[in-house]
Amino acid sequence: MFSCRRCRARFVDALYDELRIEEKEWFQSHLTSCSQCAALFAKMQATLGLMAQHARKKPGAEFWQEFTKKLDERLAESDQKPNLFAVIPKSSLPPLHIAMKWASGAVAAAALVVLGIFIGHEYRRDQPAGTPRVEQISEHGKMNSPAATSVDLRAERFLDRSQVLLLGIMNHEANDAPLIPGDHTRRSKISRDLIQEASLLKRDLKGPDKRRLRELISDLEVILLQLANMRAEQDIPGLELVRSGVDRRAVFLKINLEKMHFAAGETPQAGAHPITGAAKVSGT
Amino acid sequence: MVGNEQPLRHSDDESSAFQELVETHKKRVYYLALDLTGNHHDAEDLSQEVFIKAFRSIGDFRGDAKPGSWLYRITVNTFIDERRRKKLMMTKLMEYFRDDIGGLWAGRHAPNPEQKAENHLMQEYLDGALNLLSPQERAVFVLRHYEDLRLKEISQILHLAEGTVKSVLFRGIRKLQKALSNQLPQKEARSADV
Repeated sequence: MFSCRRCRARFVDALYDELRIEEKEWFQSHLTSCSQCAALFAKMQATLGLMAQHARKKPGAEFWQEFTKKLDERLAESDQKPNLFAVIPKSSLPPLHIAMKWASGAVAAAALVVLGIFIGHEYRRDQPAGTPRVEQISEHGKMNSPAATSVDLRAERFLDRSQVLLLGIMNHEANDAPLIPGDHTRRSKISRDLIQEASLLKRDLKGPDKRRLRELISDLEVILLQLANMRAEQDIPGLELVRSGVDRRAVFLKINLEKMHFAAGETPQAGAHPITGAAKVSGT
Repeated sequence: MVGNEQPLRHSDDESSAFQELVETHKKRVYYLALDLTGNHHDAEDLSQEVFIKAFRSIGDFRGDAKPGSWLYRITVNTFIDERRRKKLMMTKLMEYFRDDIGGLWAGRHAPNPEQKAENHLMQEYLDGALNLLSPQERAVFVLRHYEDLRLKEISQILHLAEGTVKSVLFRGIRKLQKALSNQLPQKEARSADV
């Protein structure tokens, strides 16, 4: 029995011809004398023989030509700016006088932007009172709405991006060109980015008045998870699953309602009827 | 050693060193990724991810290690991490879409022997068997069986004791043996039968 254990502990070495010379003789003699070990070893050898028939589908030359190009694109997409800068040899950095020229140009541009904002602000202040609130929001931009916090803005941007992505999926036909120029890896990347943002938003959106928004983000998170996990551009069953999820949960309706609340600078009350909440948009 | 390779040059121009690294190793990394993932799309994604990680950490690369081994380690670790993450995601998704999944996915993976060539069918069985291995078992098996690395090299790449590599590989082969004896038609399975 001890011999069998010792023998089986060396099966892997023997299968791949890595047994030490001094062990080979003992191993062979044990197999000759033990039919059980010999049978098991033969079966494992046969298994490896079968697995050796596993063939790789080799991609064509075009794939290899595209490989480096795609890698460049992905490197550029990822937050690599500091690293990319780090790998540029010092000799290829612009000379100091050119850098100074760029810096002064950037300062001038920033000053112009500040001046523009100031003029715009002053112009708005001169507007007559009583202008409807919705109009004010649309002209001022959402940053000036008292109810619009940075979390709200992030949530609104998240909803916008998710909506655009899902609209592409819903309107996509099987024979269409890829949904997003590039390939499905880009779609997966966008989905992954949105999933990350969703988890942060769920953490940051606190209070009962944000319950509905949190639920919508959770719904979207699950759909985005599935998009991120799609294996191929034309993963038809996967696309159908996403579409049915979007339909069943009335995701677009919910997104539009939330966006209307954002536009009105209001947060829907928990438990309030969505249509009633939507009617508040026209208020001052 | 992973191929006949030169140690990675630490030149001033790390960018061109990186390009050289990609050109030299992209096929090996891709084929390892293909053996690990079992499909082209995931393999492409994984191999690109490997080079992105390599790019990020090329400054930390130790000159005494072989670039090929270093890339193999990144590939296997990324594969294992990704599998864990996907498994978690899929569990959540399956729970969420439990009702929908049944109808949409039914029969998707069921091979139809009448319609497929024998070789194609065999590849499906072999893929199916490989899919039953854990990520670690698959990584060790692929590195030994398809990449032809010695057990000692695998233990160095994966930072595992050689004995652990052997026991993981033994377990993996036994799983494959059982899977093939269950899946394959009797003719092929007879020799691998448990």
